[in-house]
Parts: sequence; structure tokens; C-alpha cells
Amino acid sequence: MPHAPSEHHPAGGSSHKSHGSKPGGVHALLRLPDHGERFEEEWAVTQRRIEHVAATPVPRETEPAGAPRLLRGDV
Amino acid sequence: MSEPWELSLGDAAAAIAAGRLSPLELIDATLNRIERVEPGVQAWARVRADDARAAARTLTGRRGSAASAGPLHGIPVGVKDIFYTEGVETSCGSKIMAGFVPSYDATSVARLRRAGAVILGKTHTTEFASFDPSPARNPWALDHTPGGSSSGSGAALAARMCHGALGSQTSGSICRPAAFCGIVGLKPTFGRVSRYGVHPLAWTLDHPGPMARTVRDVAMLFDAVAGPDPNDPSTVSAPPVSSVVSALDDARGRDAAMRGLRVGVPDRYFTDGLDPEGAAAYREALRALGDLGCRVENVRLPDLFEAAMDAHELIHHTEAAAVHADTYRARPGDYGQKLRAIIEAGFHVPAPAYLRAQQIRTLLIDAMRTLLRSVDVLATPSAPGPAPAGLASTGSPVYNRPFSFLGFPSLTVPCGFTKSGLPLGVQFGGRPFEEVTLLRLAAAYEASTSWSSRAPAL
Repeated sequence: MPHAPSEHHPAGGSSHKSHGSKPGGVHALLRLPDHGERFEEEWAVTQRRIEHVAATPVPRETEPAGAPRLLRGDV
Repeated sequence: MSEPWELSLGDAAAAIAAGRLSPLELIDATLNRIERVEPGVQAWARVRADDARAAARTLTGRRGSAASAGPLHGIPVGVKDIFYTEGVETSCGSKIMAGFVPSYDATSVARLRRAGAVILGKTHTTEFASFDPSPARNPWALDHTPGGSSSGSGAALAARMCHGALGSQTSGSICRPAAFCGIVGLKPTFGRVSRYGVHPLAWTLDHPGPMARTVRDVAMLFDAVAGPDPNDPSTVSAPPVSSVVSALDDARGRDAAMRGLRVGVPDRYFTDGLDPEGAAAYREALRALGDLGCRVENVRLPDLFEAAMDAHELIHHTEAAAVHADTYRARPGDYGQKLRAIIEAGFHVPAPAYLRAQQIRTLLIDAMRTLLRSVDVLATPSAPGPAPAGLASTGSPVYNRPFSFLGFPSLTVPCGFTKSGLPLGVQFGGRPFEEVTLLRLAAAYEASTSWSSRAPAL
């Protein structure tokens, strides 16, 4: 979905309220500095990945992998 | 005899065991080699010549005694600069960690020492094993990247500045530099080699592993470092390790294992973006595997595969952001541009998206377990082409990433050279904890070609 360049950028800061985050956003919550860099390209790719992952069907009983626990006998 | 620094790890170890070469002679020859070629290659963050000589002197004194039994007795090894080394600066290629001197060895470093290896120094890494490049250059063409993030380990081995090295892989950081530098790299199964004392990039994706110039050399290092470690819980439920070197040296068993080994050729993904010379070398490698008696057959990757690679990236970015949150808060300007972009993006990945990515990981592990019932091994190109020109990028990990995501073992072995003289690699991926299958296949393939015997002209 098209959006203004300032939307959804990862270095949100206090002006970053475009996707419904609370005032101050992630940067304020985590007390991260807003150094003004936007990294638009990386965020655009990350957004596409989030959308792709969100659109991938996953049975709800699937346990998240975390660090894989692999046992040889399972194969 | 060849110059000592030219010997493979296995040949050097055999020469030392037979008394034809002393650890001190080997270290001195290797340090002289470093003095000659390092100014061009720049593989080392720091060389500890005095420490190495002192260790070699001690080991030389022990020759012939019961204490000399270590299989790596006197072997010069490089250690990627994210592995903690007691008393030796470990800066992770970063400003953040500059001056940090660990008080203990990473488990794999301690195990190398216990096996008799001499730690020559710390090899360059990209910043925190991510994508901001180090000064290291590719020994086959100094204006090309050696790959990353284990850039210095790959470059030092190709330039014959050490006989073995440690690297680590979160996306493609062992197999990519190994392929670009014309050497062998093994990314073990997750949980096979301890992560203790290795600075994390992304906890659930990080894999330490060995790199060397031949398959057997990698096997010798693997035997030394693999196995359970109470300091890394991921290793404690792993099945027991038996010597992969012994398995490789059992020629009859090896030949029998090759006959009828089912090698799967994936239907997509691993050839998207593959350059023509890489494609030709890959086809030739598959043909050679057939000549070795393997059954080479096409396989279809699970439909989920591409989404899973996006899931890998979300996990990678989110975990990297979490690893660095505290230091990034205090010193954002001391991070390189590529890692900053990753960290910033990682902060904004919603928690449910991270967990869904980990669910997709569960599903792909299950699907690939099923696929690996129909074949024993997957064979793919190691990279979309040779090492790219320039030093600003370390190239693409795209073909290595799936095995980091899965935690399944993977290995790269040289499979040819471009017309311009740059190395190419073929990658084998297999079932969890079946490194020996990959090593046997790679050893048989390596023995049927002469690619691993070539050295760059430096």
C-alpha cells in the first residue's frame, strides 16, 4: 500500500505516529535516540517481509521454533 | 618438502607427529608468510606472534611425550574476532567493542587449544558479523571482497597464512567467504558446536564452525570443537559425536556410502540469480557426483520456502536489534551504516510478526525433514557467482541462508574457477547432525577434482 515517505520508517521518534503507535513510538518506549536517519530502503524491504510472513498460513497450534531443538532420530 | 605453510593441516599434523617438522618451525614459517602477504590481503585484526611462538616452543618441547597426543599439535589457527580469547582483545570488528579483553576463551577456542592448536591471532570480521565490511581482501583478486562475515578467516586460509580457522554463520558467513576464497567451510547443525563465548548476532541463528583448505582439514577441526557444552544449552541434547575423520579415513566405508547416495537438486530458489559461469560449474559438479555413483535427482522445495526466507530476515533483524539495544541506545554513531539499518528495522518488527516467523521456521523444518527422507543430501551452488568486485559489499548470502534458518548442516567445497580466476563453490546441505554424510560426499568430490589444490598467486 502506498504511503508517505515518512510513514512506517524505523527511526520513528516523536513524530512517528503513522501506524497507530502510541505517541513517541518505539524509540521513545525503548529510550532510543532519534538521530534523524530514516533507513527507508531497509524498512521498505522489512515491511514487505512482514506482510509476506503475515499472509503465510500457519496453523495456530504451531509452536514457534526459537532455537531449533533437533534430534537425529526424528528424520 | 613443500614450504611448511603450503602443507594442508592434515599433512602438517602428520609431519609434526612423525618428527619431520616441529611446531616452532611451522609457526615461524607461517609468521614469515604472514609478514610477506598480509600487507596486501589484510586478513588479520591482530596477529599474536610472540604468544604463538611461546605456545609453539612449549609444544615443541613436549614432542614425543604423552602430552603431545592432541590431533592438532602445533597447528597454526586463526580465530574470527567475535570468538572470545582469554587475554587477547576481541573487538568484533567494531568501535563498540574496541579494547575489550575477555577473561576467558570461547568453548571452541579452548577446545582447539586442548587439541594442541596454536592460536595465531584474530581474523577480521565484518562489524559484529553483520554486513559492514572489514578491510580484508580476496587473495585471488585483491580488489574483490573475500565475502563475509568470516572475511579474514577465508582470506587467511586462501593466502596460506594459517592451516585452519574458526568462522560463524548467521545467514551465510561461513559458506559464502569459503566459496569466494576457494576453500572449504562447514556450518554444523545448530547445537553441534557451542556458541559460548561467541559474540551473538542473532541467538537462534548463530552457528560457529570450522574453515580450512581441504575437507579432511575441516573434519579435523570439527572433531576438535564439536560436542556438548554445559555453557550452551542448545548443545546438550545433541547426539554424541563420533570422529568424522575416522569415517573419512575409512576408504571402504566412504566408497560404499557414496554408491547410491541420493543427491537432491532443488527445483528453484537456489538457481534464481545464478550467473552463467556459476551455473556451468554447478552443472559440472552435479555431473561429477553422478560419476561418483550418486543418484542425482530433482526435488521440489516446499511451497513455504520463499516465505521462510523472509521469516529468516525478520528473526535476524529483530534478534540483532535486541542484542544491540543497550549499546545502540548509548552510542548509535559508533555503529556502521548497514548494521544500523538492520537494528532500526529490527526495533520495528511487531512481536507477533517475529513469532509468526518462528512458527514458519517450525513448519519449514518439518517440511525439509520430509524432503530429506526422499534424498540424503541437497546440492546447490554456494553463491550466485564468484566474489563480487569491490570491498563495499561482502556479496549475497542468499543460497546459504536456508540452512542457517533450518539449523541443518551445510558445507561448501570448491567446484571450479571463472575465466578471470575467481573460485566457485558447490554447497551440500543435509539432515540434522549428519555432518559426516556431507563431509564424505565433499571428500569424494574433492578427490575427483583438483580445485582445492590451486593457490592464489601472491
